[in-house]
Amino acid sequence: MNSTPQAVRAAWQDALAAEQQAAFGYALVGPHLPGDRQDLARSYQALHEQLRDSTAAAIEAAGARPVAALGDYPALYGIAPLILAPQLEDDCAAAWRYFYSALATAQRPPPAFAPLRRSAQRALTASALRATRWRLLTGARHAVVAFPGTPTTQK
Amino acid sequence: MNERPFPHGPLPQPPPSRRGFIVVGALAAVAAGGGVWFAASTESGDDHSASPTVSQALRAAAQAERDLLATVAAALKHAHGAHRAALQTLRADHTAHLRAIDAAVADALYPTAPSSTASPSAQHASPPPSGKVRIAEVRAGEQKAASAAAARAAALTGRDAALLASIAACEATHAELLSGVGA
Repeated sequence: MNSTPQAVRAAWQDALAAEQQAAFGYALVGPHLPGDRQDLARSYQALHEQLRDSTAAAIEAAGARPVAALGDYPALYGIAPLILAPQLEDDCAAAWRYFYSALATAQRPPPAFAPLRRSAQRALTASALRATRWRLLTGARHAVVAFPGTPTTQK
Repeated sequence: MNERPFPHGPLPQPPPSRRGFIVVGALAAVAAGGGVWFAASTESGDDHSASPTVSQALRAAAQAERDLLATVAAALKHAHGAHRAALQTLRADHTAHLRAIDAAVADALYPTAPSSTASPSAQHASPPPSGKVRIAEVRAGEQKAASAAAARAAALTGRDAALLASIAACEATHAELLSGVGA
């Protein structure tokens, strides 16, 4: 099935929403982690904030209003920090893969889609890598997944 | 396209404001350069064309997976402990990748055939590399494969592109996994 411009826009906004959630989530978990992991969380938070802001700016430049971040994310509370951190990344990976898919399934895509696909690929890979690093830190049995960004195929 | 993965309903729209967005990376420039495309119309149709380019790219992706499987199999002969466990994970992932790519190749080549006829590439296993394969070599191979898969994905459209994009990300994580066990 081909994606419509509306579907592409919705997927882009979802990616932005995932980055907003990740930035919020890292701010939440960071203080609860031990020293070096706190540094890691802080650096990842900064990366998500950058991507959040650049994505919002790009959406605006493309003629749409970026979705606003939620005031709070109640679903993130009560989850152990080392469980939540890779979950945040998995959510971002899923959102960016979905955006990639929306761009790739557009018929007669405008030239702007090619660099957006590259950006989506980079963001998907970056989140998959960060999720892997967190799982390695916790000694998870399965630190990698065969198809990052595709929840149904995760181990 | 798959179902939307991120579990948000309609998000509240902000009031008009002039938030000071920090513009980093290429996204903003890309979108600005591309102009306002949201209103552009598209036509519906098949997202999965069986062009020679598609099947060629998918076949190349399948061959890359077979090569990785052969390298991992060779490395496994001399691997122990954490290295062995990591390599077994890689083997399982590459097997899943190859199966998915084979199905996509079959779809591209024989779009009307039942799925049981699909397995156009599985029978051609790559020969194992000669000599002892070190973990660092596997890691380098995964990094190279990640870049190649991303490039192939960019050349494709539809679900095949998304499949290879995801595989590219996975192979990057394989390199990370091997770094984590000391490669």
